Amino acid sequence: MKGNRREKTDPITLAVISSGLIAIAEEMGEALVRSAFSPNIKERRDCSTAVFDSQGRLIAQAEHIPLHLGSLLGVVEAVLKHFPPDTLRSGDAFVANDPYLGGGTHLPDVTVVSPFFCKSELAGFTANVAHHADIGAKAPGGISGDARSIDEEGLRLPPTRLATAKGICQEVLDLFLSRCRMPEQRRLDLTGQLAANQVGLQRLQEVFDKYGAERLSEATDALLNATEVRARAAIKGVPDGFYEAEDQMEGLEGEEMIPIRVGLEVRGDRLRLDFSGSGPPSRGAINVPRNALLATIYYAVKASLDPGLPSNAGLHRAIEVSVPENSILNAQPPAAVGARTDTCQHVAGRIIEAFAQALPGRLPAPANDASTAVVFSGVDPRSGREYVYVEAIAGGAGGGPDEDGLDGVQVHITNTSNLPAEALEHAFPLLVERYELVPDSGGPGEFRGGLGLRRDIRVIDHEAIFSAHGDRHKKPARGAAGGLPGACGAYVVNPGSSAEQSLPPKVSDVHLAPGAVLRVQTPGGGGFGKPEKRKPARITEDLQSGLVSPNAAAEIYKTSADEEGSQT
Amino acid sequence: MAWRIGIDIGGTFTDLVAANLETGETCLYKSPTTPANLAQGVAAGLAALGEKVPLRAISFLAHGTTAGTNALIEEKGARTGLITTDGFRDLLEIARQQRPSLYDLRARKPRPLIPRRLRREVVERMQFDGSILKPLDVESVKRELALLAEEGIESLAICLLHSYANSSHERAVRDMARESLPDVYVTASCDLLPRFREYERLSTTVINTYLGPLMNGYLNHLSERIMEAGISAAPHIMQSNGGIVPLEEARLKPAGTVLSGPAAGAAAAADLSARLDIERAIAIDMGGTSTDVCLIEGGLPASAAGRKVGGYAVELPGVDVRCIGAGGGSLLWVDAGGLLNVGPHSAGAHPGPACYAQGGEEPAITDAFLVLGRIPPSGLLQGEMTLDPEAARKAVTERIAAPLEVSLERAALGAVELTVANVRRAIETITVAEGRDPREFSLIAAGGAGPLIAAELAAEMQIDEVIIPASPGNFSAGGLLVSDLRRDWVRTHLMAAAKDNLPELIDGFHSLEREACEWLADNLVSDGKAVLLRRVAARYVGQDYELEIEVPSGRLTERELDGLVADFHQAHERHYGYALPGRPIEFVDLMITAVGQVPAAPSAPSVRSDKKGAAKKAERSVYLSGKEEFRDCAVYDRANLGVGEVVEGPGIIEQYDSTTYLPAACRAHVDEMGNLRLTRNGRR
Repeated sequence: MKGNRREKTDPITLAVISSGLIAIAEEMGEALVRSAFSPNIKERRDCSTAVFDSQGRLIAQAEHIPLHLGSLLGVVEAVLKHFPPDTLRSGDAFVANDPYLGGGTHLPDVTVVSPFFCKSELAGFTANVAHHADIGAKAPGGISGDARSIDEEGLRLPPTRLATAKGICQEVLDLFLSRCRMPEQRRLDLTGQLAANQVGLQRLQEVFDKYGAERLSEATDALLNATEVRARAAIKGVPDGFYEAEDQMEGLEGEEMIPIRVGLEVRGDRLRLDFSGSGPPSRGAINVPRNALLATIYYAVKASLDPGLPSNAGLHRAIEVSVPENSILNAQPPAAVGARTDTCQHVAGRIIEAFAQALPGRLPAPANDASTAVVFSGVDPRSGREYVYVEAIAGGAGGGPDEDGLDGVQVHITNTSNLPAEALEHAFPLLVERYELVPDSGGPGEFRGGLGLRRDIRVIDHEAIFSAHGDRHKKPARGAAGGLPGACGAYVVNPGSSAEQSLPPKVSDVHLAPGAVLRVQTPGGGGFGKPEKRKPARITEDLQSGLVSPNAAAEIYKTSADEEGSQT
Repeated sequence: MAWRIGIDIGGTFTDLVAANLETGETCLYKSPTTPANLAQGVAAGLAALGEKVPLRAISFLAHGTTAGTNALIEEKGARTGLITTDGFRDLLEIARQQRPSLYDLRARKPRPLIPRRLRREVVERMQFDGSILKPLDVESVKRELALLAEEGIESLAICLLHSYANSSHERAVRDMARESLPDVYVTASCDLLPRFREYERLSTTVINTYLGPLMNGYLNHLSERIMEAGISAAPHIMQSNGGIVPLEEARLKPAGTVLSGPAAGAAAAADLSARLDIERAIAIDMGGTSTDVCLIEGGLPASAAGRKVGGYAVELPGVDVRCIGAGGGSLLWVDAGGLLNVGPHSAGAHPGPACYAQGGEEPAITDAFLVLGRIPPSGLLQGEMTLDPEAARKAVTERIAAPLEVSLERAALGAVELTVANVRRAIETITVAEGRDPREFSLIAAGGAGPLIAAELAAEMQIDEVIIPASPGNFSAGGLLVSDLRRDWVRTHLMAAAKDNLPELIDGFHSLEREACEWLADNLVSDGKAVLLRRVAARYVGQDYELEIEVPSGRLTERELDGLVADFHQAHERHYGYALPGRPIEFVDLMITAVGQVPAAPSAPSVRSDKKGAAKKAERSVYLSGKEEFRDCAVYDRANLGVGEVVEGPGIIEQYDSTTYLPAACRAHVDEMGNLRLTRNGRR
């Protein structure tokens, strides 16, 4: 086994070095969150940071968003491809976002990479990725689900030198800003990204001063080996066999349902994932670039087998991946990818579902497995300035083997925070009218699936443009072990009025009149175990809290009228 | 002769500390904590203390309690109801919609403190600028209050959207609630925390009401016991901001006590650094399960607004104490990849580390200390607590050394090194990540275990000086003897930092100042003892994260405004590495802190040694860091180390409540106040 090479560094020093490297990534993360400008990065922490060795291997990561690993995985490699090591200089910083040329996973995720030099030798990289609220796509926000080609999705940046020891390259910055809405905010976020890498470089210097380049390089090898060994030990805990899971997701309007299928092959300490049988490339923006797929796989394997596995390249070596060429999971130019999170959520859900077959009673039922992301934009009548408001709204988690699923939480490859209504209304000409759990949306079961959320947003005194992507508007998350499906999600304009109008899950350029309300409703998670096994106390509690309606309880759990609590 | 006493209730012991306000003489008494009725343990302790200190001569009493913290973590608060804006009752549960762990699919969120059926909505809506979009529907308020009354709630939280900008709806609901539910404990968010960002304000308000009835009952018992003991001084209660308030005020703000334990330690560290005239210090307090870390600058602990207790957000201004899961009881384990890990799981008091011989088989940090010879094999607390060195060696060998294929001592030392690295990481997040250089700080190391790693931590971080206070294990309780009256006012007041807004800025501060001055007067603080500190939380327009800037006292004119703007740019540069001169700035929160200085004891007189060397009491074999070998080292009795005495490392300095490890090439000297000052040879 490759990971078992004899290693020289004492395992204790290794643990200390590892702790130090993770600390660097964490500090960079703090610096980025605190110094960025857009609410998307500051309040919602839609960013991640990492440290790489000189070969571009990931050695430490502070992730807020598991999918970001994808952009970070590819970008150093891409920089090295465009700029051979001997052309890199201390003080350089590179920017990239292109999924096909720059190692990215969709255009709004902008990566900044800074090479690190120790005694004038290239010794590593610090990097971070941040989700910019706009990148100059046809639809503001750049994540609309119905873009037809990447050329509609905004500015494409292959690895490009953004700064040198002399400072920022003005013409590159100008080019970048000229393509984005709200250029000032973009400039400030980008400045924050440069500053975060700088924090990392300083701290790396201290670590190198302490241990020396040679010892650190040896330690890096040993660290990655230790992670690989740990990952393989976890794989070995899974009974040998072939496990598969398949479900369908929603494409563009008029497109057929798209199958997402995964086969897991476990043999001893080897794990192979095969995605053949998944659908062909989509005409919309839900195609998945290679690095986004890998990041999703690493998330799902960690979550299924060993949540404490360090995030480094050692884990990656323990996993083999096979994807057919003509696949939604193997995006090729010029396929649009802006809404790839929809698909990634399904992939993560299916991998966990397949592992659940191998490890019965250990993993939860499917979560809502959608990525509900909305974008409002327009001109703020209070200031006359353009605005773009991006938000991902959480849904239900799957019921677990011994506990109900979490209600209204981000699942799988994302974990962004919400924007407080009070902050939102200060910043944008919008009003949050409701933000609440949706009764009966959790899949019934012995352990109920988590509930979806409802967020009603009213447009104030201007015409707004709405774009979004999402999934499970038609096909709900199924239950496990006899549990039932959760409810579906929806986008509805002016709910409850005569002008009520339902929007498809992948949509862009919807004009919302002043005063219009847009309701976002997110899907619930699947239930676990048969509903008839649900403990009466839990049913009563759900009834009393109003999370389950009396009608649903009577129908599903066969409650009689006198068992029902007062519905509230 | 007047005495000041402090009563600190911990998980195991209730500590009573007393200081003579004229001589500085101190004494300490420990009484077992009585969880069923905490005031009982206090009464027992006071009775015993009465044998040493004339209780009638007590002129000042400060009390630190974890009653609120425990009730919160154990979910033992009141049956609480909530009135909130239509459409938002689930916010308490949704919080920031993030899951508690990125990868652990079984991680749970804390249960909401108020069940959904008791979270009620009323029809009303304020806007961000304080204008009324939808007037308060009084009928809906009546209806919901009636329903909550029927449900038998004991307390009620009121939190409406944008109430920081216009509190009229909240106040109306509050007044109606007080009238129709006279026995219910009521808190409106505008009275507790008029600050924007609704989830944090809501959560804090809910915690306050959830704890209110219980804390009231507890404070009643406590004040009765104190009076019965013959103490006439009015009791004061320690707050999370490191200050104390009169007991009556703590009734209204129990949420302000939930982080008071760590805050007392920070207050003690701040006082020590002020007495020693140390400008910048990092204070660590390493106990059995965790380590608290706090920065002290200019004699004041760093402050922070956002904290979490048991997963619940508490947004009141407080001392910024970071807690990490690294203490004497933190478990050592080897992961499947063959890497050593320390914590975050702890052996706790039961079964405790393997060396406690109470059935614990997994090694903890304390076992590593014992293997290395740092703590006395004869036991802790001067033998009151016996240890089993063989059990420690067995646990570390079997669980760590054997799987890692390293020697027993290397494994134990490695565990200490990793602990040092973890504490260092916590310190760096409050120093390096915010633009401060830890090398410019001194290290104050307290807690039973802090002095065991302090020298190595300092060397690792290139900190030149370490201060080990006289009584490290009781350091935090000592904070009760030195803390001042302190109260914070914060109000969100969003405005551009422009001269047109000067009148609004002045008015805003003025109204807060008026409240602060009234409070100082109510508490009989004389002018000479009163301090008002003004700060403003500011940001560049478009940012959502604020930096606090000190506002000079006195009249605010354009000149001061320009100064604030310049200070903000500078602070931004310091914290984030860049500034954006020319970009407009906005003020978000106006803040005032009122401090009323209360009598504190002078520094305690220290032992004068006439016989140098009398403190050396034994020798034992200690495995030395750096040298990686056992060597016979001198063991000193700290009680016999006199002022001015110097001890050269390697060595061990033992005392009742702690042990100090002095590595080779490190020396300790006893300063005038009885603190140990550790320096590395070749420095200073």
